[in-house]
Amino acid sequence: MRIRSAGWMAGRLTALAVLVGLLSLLSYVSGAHIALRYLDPPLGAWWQSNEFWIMEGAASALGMLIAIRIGARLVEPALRNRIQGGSIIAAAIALAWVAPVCAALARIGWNAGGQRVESGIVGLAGYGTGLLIDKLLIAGVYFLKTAGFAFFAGLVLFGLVLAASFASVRAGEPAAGA
Amino acid sequence: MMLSARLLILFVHVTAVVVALGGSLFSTFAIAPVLADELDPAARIRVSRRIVRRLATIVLSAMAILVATGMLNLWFMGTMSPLLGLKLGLVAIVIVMAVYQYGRIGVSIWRLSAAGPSQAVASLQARFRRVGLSVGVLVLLIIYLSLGLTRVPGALTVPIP
Repeated sequence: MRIRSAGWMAGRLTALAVLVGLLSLLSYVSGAHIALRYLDPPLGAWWQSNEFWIMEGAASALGMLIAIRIGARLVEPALRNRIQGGSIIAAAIALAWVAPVCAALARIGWNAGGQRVESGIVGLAGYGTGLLIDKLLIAGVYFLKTAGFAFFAGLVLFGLVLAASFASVRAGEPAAGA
Repeated sequence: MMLSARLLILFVHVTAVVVALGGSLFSTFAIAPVLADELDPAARIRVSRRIVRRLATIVLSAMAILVATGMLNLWFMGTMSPLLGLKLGLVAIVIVMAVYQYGRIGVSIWRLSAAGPSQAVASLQARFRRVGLSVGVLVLLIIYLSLGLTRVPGALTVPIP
């Protein structure tokens, strides 16, 4: 596979983050790891113990990638590829630190309305389905909040790479970093 | 306690606001008018392009520090409110505008001004100032909201419904 540009790479990575995030989210909510344990016990055990942080990591990567792609649309076209590429590398390095911080921040202040929402959903959809929908709602909001905080981290990384580009250019050069 | 991680992070957070906002205001209201009065167009453009480059590095770095310390502050507070959500939304808009101001307009000024003064550079500089002023106004609004969060009793304890 040939990497055409940083924008192309960012698009593919965003799609991958969405795919991995949705898979791990739905697996966590539905308890799909139990089915996997029947098929392949070691793999099922590994997946069960890791699916939640994989979901957090995918949400963080998604938030940062969206920020980087928005940032890339805002800069001068001549700089776009270089800054976007640098930001993706910086985001990949920072992901290990950004993901736990964003996940911890996403836990603040939201309990999906607590028992009130859960009771309402169970009343509408029945006990088994209602609990599943409630779990999906909580996990979905958690995923989005993690991605939201990671969005800030992505913007910051993009801004820092842009600042580094400005700092590295000499006064006589025709364009900053271009 | 006067020396704690929480206080240190708050100090860095506030200092970053002062640097980002103060730098932009100083450039717009002090440097730019003096350059216009004292220097001929060719010299003014040479000085201006260097100021844009340095200011971009300083302001964008200060904003990065601002967001990083802001996230740590939120971690320490451990509570969320609609007012804080509004503040975070405004912060995202400010960063996006700053990236546009320096990454698009600033770089265009840098590129075009290499050939000397021109009408295109002058109009870009006017747009640069307008976006900078808008960012400044939004930052002031964010500061006001921050005061509301820290000084108004209960502002941080209102849960999101």
